[in-house]
Amino acid sequence: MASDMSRTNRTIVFADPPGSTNYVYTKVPVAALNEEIMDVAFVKVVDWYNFPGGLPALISAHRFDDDGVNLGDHWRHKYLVDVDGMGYSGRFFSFMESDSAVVKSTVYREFFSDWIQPWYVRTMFHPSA
Amino acid sequence: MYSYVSNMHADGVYAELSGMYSPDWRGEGNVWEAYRRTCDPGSPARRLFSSFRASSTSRTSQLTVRNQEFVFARDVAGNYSFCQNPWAHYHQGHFFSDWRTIPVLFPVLSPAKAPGYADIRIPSHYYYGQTRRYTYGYDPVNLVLKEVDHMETPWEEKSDKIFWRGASTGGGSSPPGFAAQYQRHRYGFAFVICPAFGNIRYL
Repeated sequence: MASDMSRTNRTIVFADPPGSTNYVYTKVPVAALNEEIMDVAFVKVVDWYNFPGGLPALISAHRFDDDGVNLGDHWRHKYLVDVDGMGYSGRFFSFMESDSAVVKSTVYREFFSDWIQPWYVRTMFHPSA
Repeated sequence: MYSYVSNMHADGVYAELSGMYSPDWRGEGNVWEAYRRTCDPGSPARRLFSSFRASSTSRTSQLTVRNQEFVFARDVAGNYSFCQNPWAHYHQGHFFSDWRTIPVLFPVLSPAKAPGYADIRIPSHYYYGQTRRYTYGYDPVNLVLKEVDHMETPWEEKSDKIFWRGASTGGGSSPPGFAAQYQRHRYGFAFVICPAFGNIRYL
């Protein structure tokens, strides 16, 4: 989890040197990995009363950004994640129109789902992880 | 035969519109129980007992990393079978929706169709409206749409971090108690390019 600050290790595989086809692996603590590559947070709490443990549990288990963001703030980052809420994400088209790369996860098919090309126009993210 | 079926259907429609059902479940049922009955009788979702898997904290051994080729996810999970993988429904908030399902045949036009549903897909209103929160390039002061958003940043100047902000929406509470597993909470997240190994790939 991106809010995980534990010392559990994750194995990562990367190309060394970058851009080559020589892949090496190493173990990195989750906390360091999250700190270095992830910037993920909730800006708003919804339906906390149905969350096990209530609001305190929800807040302690997840990262929050009290400042909030505008849509335009997203274009400052290379990789934008787009995930479902209870329904599909309405921001997908705006992310795709930007110059940032979109990492998409969804269980929904929309009207354009057969028309866009994965990996060419967006990267995949499978929810099973 | 035809008139018998259409009478049954008409009765069902009438019952739906009669006001005898509350729009929300109120504990009388839930989406998953209604959904799994549409699965093939031999499928895992139709069994009396089902498994419950913990959210993935999988750690891949170095042996696996060394010996197996990693693969990239080919597609999103738009065709993922919950009938074959009933344990996965705990991770999708829409199965816990508080809104009652409609058991009669209405053609439903919707912007997003989940596996097992028969929605007729239409474009989302989010893509047609011009709003500050959903539309790229929208100038809310002059009320015009620009080709390049005024906050756009050149690629080299963008931060390298993987970024997400949003609300903790995720699903309903029928039954309650499962919110911690919904996709956004669970995605508190483990970013993986390759689903098979639960690890990160840098290229």
